Amino acid sequence: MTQAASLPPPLRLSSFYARQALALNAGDWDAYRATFVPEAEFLLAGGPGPLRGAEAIVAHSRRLAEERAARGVVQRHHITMTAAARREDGVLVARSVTLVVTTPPGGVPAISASTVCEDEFDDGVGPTGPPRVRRRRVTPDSPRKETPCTSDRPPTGAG
Amino acid sequence: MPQDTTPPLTPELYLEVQQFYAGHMHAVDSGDFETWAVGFTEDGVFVSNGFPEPLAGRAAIDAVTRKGAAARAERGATHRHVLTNLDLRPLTEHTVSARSYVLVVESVAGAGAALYASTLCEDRLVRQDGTWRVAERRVTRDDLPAVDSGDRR
Repeated sequence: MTQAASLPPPLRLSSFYARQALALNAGDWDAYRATFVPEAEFLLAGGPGPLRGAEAIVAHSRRLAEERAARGVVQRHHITMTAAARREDGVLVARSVTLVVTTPPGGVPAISASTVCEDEFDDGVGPTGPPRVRRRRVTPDSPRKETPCTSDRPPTGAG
Repeated sequence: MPQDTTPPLTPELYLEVQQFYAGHMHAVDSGDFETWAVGFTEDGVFVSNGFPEPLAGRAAIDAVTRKGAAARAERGATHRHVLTNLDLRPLTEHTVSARSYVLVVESVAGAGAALYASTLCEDRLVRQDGTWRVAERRVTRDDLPAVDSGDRR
């Protein structure tokens, strides 16, 4: 993660999101957890309420990933169009379009969700430190239900 | 640059590699097979769970690519490789480990466009003659059983 420290914010965030999505989709939970501050909040618009804490965020994603894995389904988050900005209060924020592509075993891939992902970062470890998400808000363009899912929360497009 | 430390990921490097991939994928999609083929080292290896066996060497990669393109042309299909989530880790001054997702979008005249394949692309790139080339490529198609656990590292 530190190698990206020498990049200016827009490239640093593109690099950050690439690694975050790769970690999430590969089930590399330690790497995924490290992309959030411990007290991070994850809100799925239209969902039951925010997930609080990196542990809860990871547990949620992990449960959904295990359900998909049991069905042999592969999901990939394509994080694109990242627009980074420095808010008036100095907080680094970014807005991206995340396309979720889902492939069933032996089947044809499809875009299962198109979402807008808005993040607030904690880059307080210094301007060259690895960014971590403090607050994430994911807004699906079309809230939908995913097939057999025993989760007590609605499935998330980008979680 | 010290020999014993990993070089930093600089904006120049990130953009250079991003541009390499753009040119590389445009080449194969537009039938410029020469440009595509020199995007691999002479002894480049291309492994995929979509191939019965690894392709060893630029000539083998070139031959299989042309064969695939001819088959697509026969059924009026066009492929576009769309690469996202580019993650780079410089290994040495002239070697980079690159991971990305590549969506293959297929269009058939009169039948619209649809996703054809969702893949994970893991490359080891080397700088040769002032340009980047693929020395090792491992592509994992999501619709087929993974050959090994490359995705899990």
